[in-house]
Amino acid sequence: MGEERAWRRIGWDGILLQVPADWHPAAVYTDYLLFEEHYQPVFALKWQQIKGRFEAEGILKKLQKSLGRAELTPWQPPTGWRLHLKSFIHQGFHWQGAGGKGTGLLLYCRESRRALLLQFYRADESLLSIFERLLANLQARQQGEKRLWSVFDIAINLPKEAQLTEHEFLPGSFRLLFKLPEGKLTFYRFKPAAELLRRQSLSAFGSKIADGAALVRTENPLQAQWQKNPRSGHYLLARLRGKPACSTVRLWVLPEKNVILGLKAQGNRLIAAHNFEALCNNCTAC
Amino acid sequence: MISKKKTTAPGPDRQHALACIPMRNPECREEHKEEGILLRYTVQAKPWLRKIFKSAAGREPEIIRKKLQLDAMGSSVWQAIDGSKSVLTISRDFQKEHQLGPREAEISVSEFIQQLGKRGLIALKEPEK
Repeated sequence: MGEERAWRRIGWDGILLQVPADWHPAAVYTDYLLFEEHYQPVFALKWQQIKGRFEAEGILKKLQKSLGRAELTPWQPPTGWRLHLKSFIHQGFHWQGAGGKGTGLLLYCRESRRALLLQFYRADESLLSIFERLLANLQARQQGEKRLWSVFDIAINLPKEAQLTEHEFLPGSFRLLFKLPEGKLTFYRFKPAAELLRRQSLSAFGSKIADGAALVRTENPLQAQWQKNPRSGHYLLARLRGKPACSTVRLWVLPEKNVILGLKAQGNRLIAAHNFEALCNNCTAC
Repeated sequence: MISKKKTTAPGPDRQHALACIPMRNPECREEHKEEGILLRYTVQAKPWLRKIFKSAAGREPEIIRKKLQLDAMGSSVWQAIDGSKSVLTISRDFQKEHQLGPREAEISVSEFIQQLGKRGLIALKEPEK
């Protein structure tokens, strides 16, 4: 039954997983994801980097407290699930309290030193195979030099050093701000592009995001780019204010998706054109 | 590791609200303009304002005439309010028309409908059981 459903990939803070496409991310925090199905919580995932020794009891005690002194009982996950948990130290539990009940797993990945707390809010027979597939694809830490940030309809591949500092998902407007060793990087997604650009050009639409940067002439009508590379006086003033002096901004339209995507790179030096191009090429809307 | 993350509001309320059918205020007049539909409607003055007006002018204030200019998206939602479609149906149509995510469309449409309701431009009819 679960196999017939469409699935989508979620990437967030190094975590990689797959969930049914009709599960809606109802809460997205830097270290927490909650999914809903038919307006009801179905699955939540929370994670933390462990600095010292991993102590499951302490974490479960905190969970119990956060669930309003819910009753936690040990639980052995089914064999099918355990097959996918070989790379983790795992501990299963049932919880029951005033706020509801469900099944959970506390996982610890030795390699990445990350603890993951999975909460399954329902235990219908039909969901068991879905949870099993979810576990089969769960990664505590993405490998390689890039990290996928993919939620809702956006997908961004960024260098592994990128740290999410702010994010907002408003209807029609998404914004993710990352900190990189060289400066700041902001990703934008606006929808529906056709309506937003009905009475104004892309450059007029993006002027607020460009924040005073100069419009750069481009041949592509579906793209607008701005650049700010101030002279010494303004550069020094920006540095004294503790603000990044240089910025490169690009907005581009994907008409087939009816979306405007954007990227703003800010730093004390102008980002190299080929690096900015590579970053833009790694941002897309699904 | 575990903190005060709260789950969202319980489901049935939201589902019930989405099943309601918005009905237009028959007193509202619409005018089609290039930028979208212009709604003209009347409202009763607030009791405190009536009191001040009466003491100053010595008579009851007249009905206040107001107008609301909708943009293209607002106009499309207004036109979809036909007294038979539920909020959910309108938001699904809106989602398809603008290639939005389902929840994104639901939030946009329901917030817009809420705004229209506050201005007295629509009322919500309970879904038939």
